[in-house]
Amino acid sequence: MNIDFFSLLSSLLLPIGLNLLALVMTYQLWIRWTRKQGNSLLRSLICVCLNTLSIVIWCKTWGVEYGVTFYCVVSALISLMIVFFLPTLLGRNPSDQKINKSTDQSRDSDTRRFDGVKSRQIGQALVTFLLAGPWAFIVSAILAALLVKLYWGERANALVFAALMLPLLWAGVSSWLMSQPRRLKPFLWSVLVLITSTVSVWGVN
Amino acid sequence: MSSREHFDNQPEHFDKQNIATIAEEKKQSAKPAKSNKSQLVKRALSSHSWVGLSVSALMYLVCLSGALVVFYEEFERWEQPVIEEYDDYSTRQIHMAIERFNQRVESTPESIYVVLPTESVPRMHISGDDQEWFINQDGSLSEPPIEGWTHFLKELHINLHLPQTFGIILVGALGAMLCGLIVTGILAHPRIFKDAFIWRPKGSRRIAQVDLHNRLSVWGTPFFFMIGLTGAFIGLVGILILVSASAFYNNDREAVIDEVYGADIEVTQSIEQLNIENALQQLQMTHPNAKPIYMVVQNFATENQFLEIAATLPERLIYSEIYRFRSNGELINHQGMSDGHWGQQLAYSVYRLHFGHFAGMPVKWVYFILGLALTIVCATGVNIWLARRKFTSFINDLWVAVVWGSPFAIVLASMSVMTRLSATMIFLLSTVMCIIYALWKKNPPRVKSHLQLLTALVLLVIPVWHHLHFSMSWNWNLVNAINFSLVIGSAIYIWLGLSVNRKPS
Repeated sequence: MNIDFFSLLSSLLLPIGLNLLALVMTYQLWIRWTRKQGNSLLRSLICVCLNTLSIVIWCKTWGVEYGVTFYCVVSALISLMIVFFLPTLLGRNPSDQKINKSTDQSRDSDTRRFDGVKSRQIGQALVTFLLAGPWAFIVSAILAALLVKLYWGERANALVFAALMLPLLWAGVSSWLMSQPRRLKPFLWSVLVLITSTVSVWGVN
Repeated sequence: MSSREHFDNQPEHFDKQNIATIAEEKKQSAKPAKSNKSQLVKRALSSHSWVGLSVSALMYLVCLSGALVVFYEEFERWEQPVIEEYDDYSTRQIHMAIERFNQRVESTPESIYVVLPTESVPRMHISGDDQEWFINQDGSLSEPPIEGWTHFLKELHINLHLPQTFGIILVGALGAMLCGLIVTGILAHPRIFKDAFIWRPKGSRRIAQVDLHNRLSVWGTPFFFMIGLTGAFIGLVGILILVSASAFYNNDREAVIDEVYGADIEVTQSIEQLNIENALQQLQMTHPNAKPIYMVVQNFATENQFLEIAATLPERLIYSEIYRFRSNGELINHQGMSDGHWGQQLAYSVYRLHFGHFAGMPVKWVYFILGLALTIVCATGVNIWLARRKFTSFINDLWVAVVWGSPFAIVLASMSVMTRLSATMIFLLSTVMCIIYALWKKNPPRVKSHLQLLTALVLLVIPVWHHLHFSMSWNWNLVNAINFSLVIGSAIYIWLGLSVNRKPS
């Protein structure tokens, strides 16, 4: 196979290398921050610049659409490699110390145990979700229609914007309903929003 | 007076007592804010837990099948390895294929689709009115594509084998819930930056699960959010079309679709022979970067006949731009997916972005790895919840059957390639068997190990069986690469299965 080394270098190795450098720099910054060693403004600036440069190089090499996507997925992979492999390779895990200390009780590692979730509670939560989900969907679908109506630009753009907002609205409304300890008030609010939106979309010409 | 003002006004007189008082004041004023924050975290965590648990099993199945389905083009080639493969095609070959196709079908379809060979699928096929055949290099028709294991896998991901409309909406809903879970997950995680790189494999099993869940989630967030949003868009766009048609288009759904994707054109001319060669030359001249991927003869053999050539464009995520030609090959226009309103460009870009079908094999692998990461996030999320309970119940057994039974059932269903048994039936039966086994055994670690070893066994048998069944050569090609990957997968599963036995339960 005939591989042009320079095109490989410029199209793949350079952006990946820069991406790697930017994330290793971010990791270094993070280590100093968690150890309370303090980060100079210059170091933070270099880190931001390296990440920005990495996005720019990806976009210059592959175009904006591919470039931004590549930056996101490659950054995710490199970061996960740093998390899972780098400390092991280096033989020192900054997290090891913390296990013996208070981090074990932190929210992240949340060692609190349930006193026991009864099946009734699980059933209740499931039923609440099965009711809140479809209800939230109705509310968000009408809100999405309202977005189409309120959008100031081309109708095609309005439709696509609303189609992208629909899942976000649905997720937001159902998560909000599920997070409330008492659901009557949020439900009444959502009824109000639903009525107002329905009247605005279908009632007003 | 605020504490800051207190300091500023009495610089000379502050002493230890003053400092203590001020600190107390500060503490008091900070309390409500802190309490609000902890309330938000608590509520976000509650929503995250209950929504996550409610959708966990279905989301796990969709994520697992999604990670695998990234390679559906390769799996289709593996499933029918004897079909002729070639990179190049000729217009003579296409004309001959259309002619043969019309001879074979009972009635001439309105539209005839010719899918051209690409780098990822170097095969050609022709279809119309739900009838489809592969095309040989000489233009003759070969076997029809089978709706086998890969089709089963795609359907599992797209609609969970439920009735089409309901299934795709349900999967779209899971995409929306994934977006919600990401947002509540971030809100429920106040130490998101402090723990950004924390990984404690030497901690308790639950700490390792929490770290795995949080690290994969945090760093995968842009990808997971994009996958959730684009998946929800694909699944739920039909609902928005319905609502918008009712609100703004007098219930005319076609009008909504035409607004975004563009309407079909009307061409009137005398009936004449299709000049594909001229159309391809015109395309090459006007849009030299466009790479044709398929063509459609619309209104075949009528006065309204015209040709559409769909082509990908470099550095663009749009699925394709569609160029329209008269029967004589004269360019009429293009649909505007590459240069229309931003909404049109975005709507047509979500597919490749969701499938990972751009920029070749490396991107597919990245999507596969991050898709598996999302699957692990689903599994560890429930594992954390289960581990926080002081007791075990049938839910533990069911969960281990879902997590380790599903890959086993999916792999076992690939037997259908050699046996022509229904992949869906094999999958359903084996899933039920896994659940019954887990509930009967009541020992999740043991069941996990058994299912892993069983999966390893099947992963070893399938490539050998496939190789012998299709009498494959030992050349290094895609089919052998997939078989080799299955063997590697088997080795990983053996390691996983045996490592469970080594660990104390």
